[in-house]
Amino acid sequence: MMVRQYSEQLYWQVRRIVLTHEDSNDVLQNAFMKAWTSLDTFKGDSKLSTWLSRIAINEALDFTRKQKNHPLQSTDDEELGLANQLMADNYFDGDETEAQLQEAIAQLPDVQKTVFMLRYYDEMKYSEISKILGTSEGGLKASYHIAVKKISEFFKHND
Amino acid sequence: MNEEVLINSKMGKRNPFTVPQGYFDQLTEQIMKNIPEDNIQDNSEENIQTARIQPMKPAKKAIMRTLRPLFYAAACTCIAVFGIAAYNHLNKQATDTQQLQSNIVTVHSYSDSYIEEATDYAMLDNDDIYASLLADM
Repeated sequence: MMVRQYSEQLYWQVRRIVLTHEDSNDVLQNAFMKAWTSLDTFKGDSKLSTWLSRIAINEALDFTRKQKNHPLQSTDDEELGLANQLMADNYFDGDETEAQLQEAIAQLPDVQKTVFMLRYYDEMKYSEISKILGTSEGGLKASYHIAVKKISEFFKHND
Repeated sequence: MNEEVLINSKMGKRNPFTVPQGYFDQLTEQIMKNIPEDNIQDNSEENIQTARIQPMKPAKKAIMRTLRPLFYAAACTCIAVFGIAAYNHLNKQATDTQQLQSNIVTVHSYSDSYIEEATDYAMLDNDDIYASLLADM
């Protein structure tokens, strides 16, 4: 089954964008619903996993955009900072540096954020990322370079 | 890339996120519960590939595209047959009318000569009758 085969891989792609488990679960459900209802539009010019990743990542990015426009979290949470929120999350197992990295990634623009996560964590090829994001490989390389630079600067400032 | 090495040395590529225990075991079932039943089918990649080779809507379009010349040919044949039938019908009507007209002319000519003869006969006076009888004797 399509769900069994790809759900875990898609979950992690969504989780790195959305950050919390509960939200990732909701976003993944929506992504699979969308994939199901538009299955007849799948042309087969890319792999099924690529097509599903595109849907899931777009859904996750939409979610974060909506959250930025209409934050549901309280002002106290906002003041706490994303790194501290992650440290308080039961489903975050990282140390403070890892939480800071996640905060730095979350502050990147959508394409830089996505290309960094797919390249850095999943070690995906640029050609594959290009199919997911619909951006040229050259553009993605530039975005990745900028993302890495920004994150390293973030670390230098916080050292 | 120096910056990438710095990030990697600081924290590696370890995944710091976790999920509730047994989450992925139940995830498939949980997702399937939320999908409407009429959409549930065997969506393995193999089946999706097969479905892609024989998609329903494009197949209908392809059939229509293949049959379109036949529809045009059938339409042309119908028009031709109807045209020929109409021509024959009109032609036959014209021939019948012509024949009828010639019959009327014949009747007319026959009637005219008969009337003329009758009139000539009617115009004979007694002297002419006597002269005719004497000529026969």
